[in-house]
Amino acid sequence: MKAKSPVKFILLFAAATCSACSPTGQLIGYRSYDHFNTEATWAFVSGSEGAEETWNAIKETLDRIEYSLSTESEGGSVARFNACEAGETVEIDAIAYDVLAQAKSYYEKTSGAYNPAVGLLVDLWGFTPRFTGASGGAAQPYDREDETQRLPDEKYLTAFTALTDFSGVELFERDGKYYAKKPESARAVVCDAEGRETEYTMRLNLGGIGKGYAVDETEKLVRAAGYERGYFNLGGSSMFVLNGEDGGAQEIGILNPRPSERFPTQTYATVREENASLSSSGDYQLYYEIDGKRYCHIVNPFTGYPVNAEPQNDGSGLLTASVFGLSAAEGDAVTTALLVMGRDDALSYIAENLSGARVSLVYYDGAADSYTVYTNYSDDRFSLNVSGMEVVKL
Amino acid sequence: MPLDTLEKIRTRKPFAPLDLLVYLFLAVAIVTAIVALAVGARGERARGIELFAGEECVCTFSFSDGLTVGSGWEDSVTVQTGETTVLTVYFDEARSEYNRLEIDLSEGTVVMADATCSRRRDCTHMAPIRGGRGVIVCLPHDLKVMAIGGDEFANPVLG
Repeated sequence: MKAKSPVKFILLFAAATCSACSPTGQLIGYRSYDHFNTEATWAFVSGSEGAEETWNAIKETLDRIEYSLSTESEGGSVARFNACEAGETVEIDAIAYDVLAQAKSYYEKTSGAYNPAVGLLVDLWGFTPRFTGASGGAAQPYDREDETQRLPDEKYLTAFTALTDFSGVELFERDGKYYAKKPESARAVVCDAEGRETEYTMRLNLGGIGKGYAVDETEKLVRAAGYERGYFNLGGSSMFVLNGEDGGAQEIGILNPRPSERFPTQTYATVREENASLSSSGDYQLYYEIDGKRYCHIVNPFTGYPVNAEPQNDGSGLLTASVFGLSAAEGDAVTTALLVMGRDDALSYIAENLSGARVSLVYYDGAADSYTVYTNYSDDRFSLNVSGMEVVKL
Repeated sequence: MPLDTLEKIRTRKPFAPLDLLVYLFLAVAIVTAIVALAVGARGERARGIELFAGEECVCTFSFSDGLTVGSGWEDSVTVQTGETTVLTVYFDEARSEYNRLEIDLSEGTVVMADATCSRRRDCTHMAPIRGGRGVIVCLPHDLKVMAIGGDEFANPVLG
């Protein structure tokens, strides 16, 4: 070797290494706790210009969507629909019309497993803001003295389950205005414990899909402003990711539905994604237990019970479902629907309808006390973060 | 390849001084890359947490330097040290309304262990703060617990 060669080699190697590791910009961001009773996080690469203006535009968009879709906002479209009589038509804004039109599409695609007309059932089980502390709200005849000790009265379960025929909701546009009509049949009279009769009509709850819709609208804003790296996360259950800070894929952890000594990690899996929307539904953040059985906020419209909590259920069922690569709104609807369908129907639905998307499910078998992860991810984009869960590739 | 070149390669000393310099440089580069990958994969840890009641700072808790209580909250925050550090924020004089955090200093994790906010105590079901990321919110008490420092925007979590 010539005398100068090693020095030259070192210089060339160092130059190549420095080039490969040159700074690409760290992710920085904004957070807000003012929308959808949850956290909104927008992350982008440091050095981006006009970020504050974009963030303000994002917050204004979230404000408008939340006002339109919230069951609590006075004058909002969904709140007015919920308050109207059966057979009545109410004018709604363009946001509510758009979201309801999407909801009807997902309702049909999932054969009713995604159904936003479960509003009364969600309230009956105690998962609306008046229970979770986000806002007040008048007591109802069907309220339990302590919802963590006693199941709802069967007569309310039966009556409210009968008020979930979302196919009967009519949407139409006339002279540039939008309308929704509550079905004439969507009414039920229930006699309370003191003999007083109360009439109930269908109520919508667009909480899940509403967040996904907000994520989709935010993605349009962020892309229009020229951002190509980062992500937007609304409450953890809906987000979009652009490229990572280095321009490639981002690693996204998926929350472990049963953190415990057996599965001690925060996430059960990590996936690699870029330029995709992500959604997740699970039974592990809003729930309570009665006699050891978990009652979560996702209500099965066919039975009226929270998923996996029907009287005959031993706790078996899908604990969490995550979908990547659909719009966030559709992802929200689909992940909710998969939990409602249960494992076997969910796997059939995935095979027949979600070939272009990536999915990851966690199923618990109560009899065998075993956990199984079902995923169609390729090995180079999916890694399991826990031991003791079997992985089945779809 | 000419025969004389092959002969030179075959007969020259493999540990000539300048060659040793190359070997040393490569070894340092490889070790540096491994360390960088290991640290990078974990992300920077949080240095502590800060607690807000509405817009008001209740306290900060540094994992290295301990507690600093915000103005007006001096009688409402306690810290107990032990195997796990327990930080409690009280919201009334009788100390019947509270949120209780458990902090694992060695792991840099924080979890809402107990609260009197509602029967359901939804905040106790929220994911722990870990590795510089995450927030725990108690809506009835309007309390937010957030990580300080750390690589808080790296690697989002879904769920």
